[in-house]
Amino acid sequence: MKTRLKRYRDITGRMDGLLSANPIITYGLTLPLAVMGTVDTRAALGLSVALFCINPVAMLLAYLMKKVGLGREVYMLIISLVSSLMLVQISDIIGGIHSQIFSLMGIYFPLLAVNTLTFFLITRCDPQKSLLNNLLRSIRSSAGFAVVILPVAAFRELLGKGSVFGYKLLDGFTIPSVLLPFFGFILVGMVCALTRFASRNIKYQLLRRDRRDREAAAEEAAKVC
Amino acid sequence: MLDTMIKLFALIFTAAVAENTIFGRALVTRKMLFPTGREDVFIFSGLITTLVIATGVLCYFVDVLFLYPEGYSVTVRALCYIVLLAVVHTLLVLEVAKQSGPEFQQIKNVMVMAGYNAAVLGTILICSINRYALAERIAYFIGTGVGVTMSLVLIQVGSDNIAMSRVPRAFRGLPISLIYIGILSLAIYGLVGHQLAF
Repeated sequence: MKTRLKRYRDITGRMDGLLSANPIITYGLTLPLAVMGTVDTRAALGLSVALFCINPVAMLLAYLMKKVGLGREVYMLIISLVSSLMLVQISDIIGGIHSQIFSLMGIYFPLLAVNTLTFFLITRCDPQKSLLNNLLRSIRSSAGFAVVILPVAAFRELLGKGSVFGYKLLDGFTIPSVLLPFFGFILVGMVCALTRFASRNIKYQLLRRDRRDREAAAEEAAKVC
Repeated sequence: MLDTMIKLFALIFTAAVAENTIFGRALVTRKMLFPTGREDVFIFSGLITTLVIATGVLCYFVDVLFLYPEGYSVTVRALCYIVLLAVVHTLLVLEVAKQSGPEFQQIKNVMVMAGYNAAVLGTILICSINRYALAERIAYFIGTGVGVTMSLVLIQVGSDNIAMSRVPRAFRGLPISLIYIGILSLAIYGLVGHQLAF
C-alpha cells in the first residue's frame, strides 16, 4: 500500500510543470514577463494565451529536429524565428482580448520569441519519449506559467490601479508604486518562498502521519504476536 | 557639436542607470541571477554588448530603409530583428570558434544564452519604438552594455554576501536573489523618480 507521501509525490509528479517544477517558482524562467507582464491582468492573460500557442508548436519542432540530430544552436535559432512568426500570426487573436492589450504588454509581447521557458522546454525535449508526452509537458508548463502570473497580475492591478481586468473595484485607494519593477521582483520572490514553505510543510505533515500509521501498525502486530 | 556630445552622454547615462536593462525593465534571465564569477560576468556582458551594437546598427538601417516607411507593427519589426540577430550571432559564434579552438566548448553555452536573450532584443526594440537616430542608438547600446555589466557585478557581489549569510530555508536560492534585485531596483527608482514607459 502506498504511503501518503508517495501518493502526494505521484499526484504532483503527474502535474509536473503545473504544481511541481513550476517554470517561474521553481526554475525562475520568464522573469521579464513575471515581473513586468503582471502590471495588468489583461496583459498577463495575453502573454499566457500567446505562450499556450507558441510552446506546443516549439516542442513539436524541437522533437522533430532532435530526432534528425540537429544541434542546440540550430534548433534555438529556428525556434526563435518560428516563435516570432507565430506571434505575428496570433496578434489578431490576442488583440481580440482587449483593444489596448498591446500597449499594456509593450515590448514584452514580441520578447516572447526569446523567452526562457520555450528554450528550457525545447532543451529538455526528450526524443526517446513519445511526442504526446513532450507536448503534454509543454502544455502543463504553459498552464503553470498562467497559474502564477494571473493571480500576481490581479493582485498588482487591484492594488496599483484599483481594478481587475480593467473593471474598477476599489475607489480612491491605490498604491501606484505596486506597478513598479521592484515590487514585481519582491512579490515573485515572496511567492516562490511561500510556495516552497507550503510544499515543505505539506510533505512534513504527510511524513509524520505515515510514521504514526507505521508505529500503530507495528504495535498492532506486536499485540497479535 | 557640444550639445550633441552632451545629449549622447546623457543617453549613455540614461541607458546605464535610469533605464537600466535589469533593474528598470526586468530584462533578466536565470543565468544572470546566479553568476559563477567575475570573469563569467565580464564575458557574458561583453557578448551582450557586442551583439546589441552589431545587430542594433544593422536594425537601424533596416528600420530607416524598410520598416518605418512601410509602417510595420512592433511584432513584425521584432521578427526582422531576430533574423538579423541570428545572422550576427552565427557569424560571431563561427569567428570565436575559429579563434579559440578547443577552449570554444567552454564558452559555447554562454555564447548561445547571450545571443537569444531578452536584454539584446529588448534594447533594440526600445530604440526602434523611440525612433532614435544612429548616433543615439549607438550611445544607448553602449549605455546598455555598461549598465548590464554594472548590474551583473552588483548581483554577483550580492550573491557572494548572501551565500555567507544565514538565509531561512524557504528563501534560499531564487527567492532571496529576486528580493535582493527588487531592493536594488527600488534604489534605482529612487534615482529616476518615475515609471518607465513600456
